[in-house]
Amino acid sequence: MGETMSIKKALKTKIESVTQAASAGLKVYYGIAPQQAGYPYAILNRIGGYAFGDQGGDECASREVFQLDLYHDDDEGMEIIRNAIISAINAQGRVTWSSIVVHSCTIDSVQDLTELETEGNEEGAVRQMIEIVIVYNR
Amino acid sequence: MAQSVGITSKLLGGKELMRKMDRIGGKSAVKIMRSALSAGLMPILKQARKNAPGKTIKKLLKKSVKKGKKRGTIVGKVYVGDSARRVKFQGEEVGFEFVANVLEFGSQKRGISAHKYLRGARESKAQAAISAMEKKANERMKAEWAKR
Repeated sequence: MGETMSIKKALKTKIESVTQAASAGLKVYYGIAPQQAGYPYAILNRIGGYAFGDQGGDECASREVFQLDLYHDDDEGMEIIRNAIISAINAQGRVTWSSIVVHSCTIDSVQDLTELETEGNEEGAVRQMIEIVIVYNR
Repeated sequence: MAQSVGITSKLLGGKELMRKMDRIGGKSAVKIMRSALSAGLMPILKQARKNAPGKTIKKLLKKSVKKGKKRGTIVGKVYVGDSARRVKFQGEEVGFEFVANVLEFGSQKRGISAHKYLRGARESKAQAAISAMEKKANERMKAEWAKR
């Protein structure tokens, strides 16, 4: 029997399977991307989380918060990918991601963090951060 | 910058606590809530100090409880103070707010991954914060009833 997939990996798989992201060649990395990574790319980080519910029962759930940073060299392309990802992962009912039962996936905030990627007057990549809250069955 | 250094969290006490608070009402309830919120921020502040990368950020981390913009609301936050101070960072002179943000959210350009010292503290200590708020509010309410 294979190892149970983590919610982080399931989220990565879900993001990479979004049509607009896949057709643009979006790659998702954990922690930090390699310096030679080509645009567009994304970085996924776990912010934190905790377990709740009946520890012995089926409804033993966890809440996890993730930070997804999208990097692109083009504003319009960024907007298309960001909106497609948000609409694909947003779930208010029970859905299944790579065999994990997700009760809800909501977008807590979306922020433009391009300023953190510029040095002096130099213009570089566009960066947007999405904070994602997931409640799922462990 | 689109966001400030402080991470604001809405922490709501239990239903029972809210019912008791309704019965007290007025200025006393506001005082109780301010003090409860201040107590609730302590576990988050302590955890943020533990998580913080570097002594300067640890020292500058603070908490505050103020009236919210919306009438009747109280807002508590844990934040990095003195953020206007100018510092040298990777060979560039920048505001400390910038450094605090780069460390919290990470920066690919600067080769720094997100340390999430504030948001991580908020997530891991949310339950402890609510318990501390409830405890403090109950203590203050008992004292308030005793005065009447």
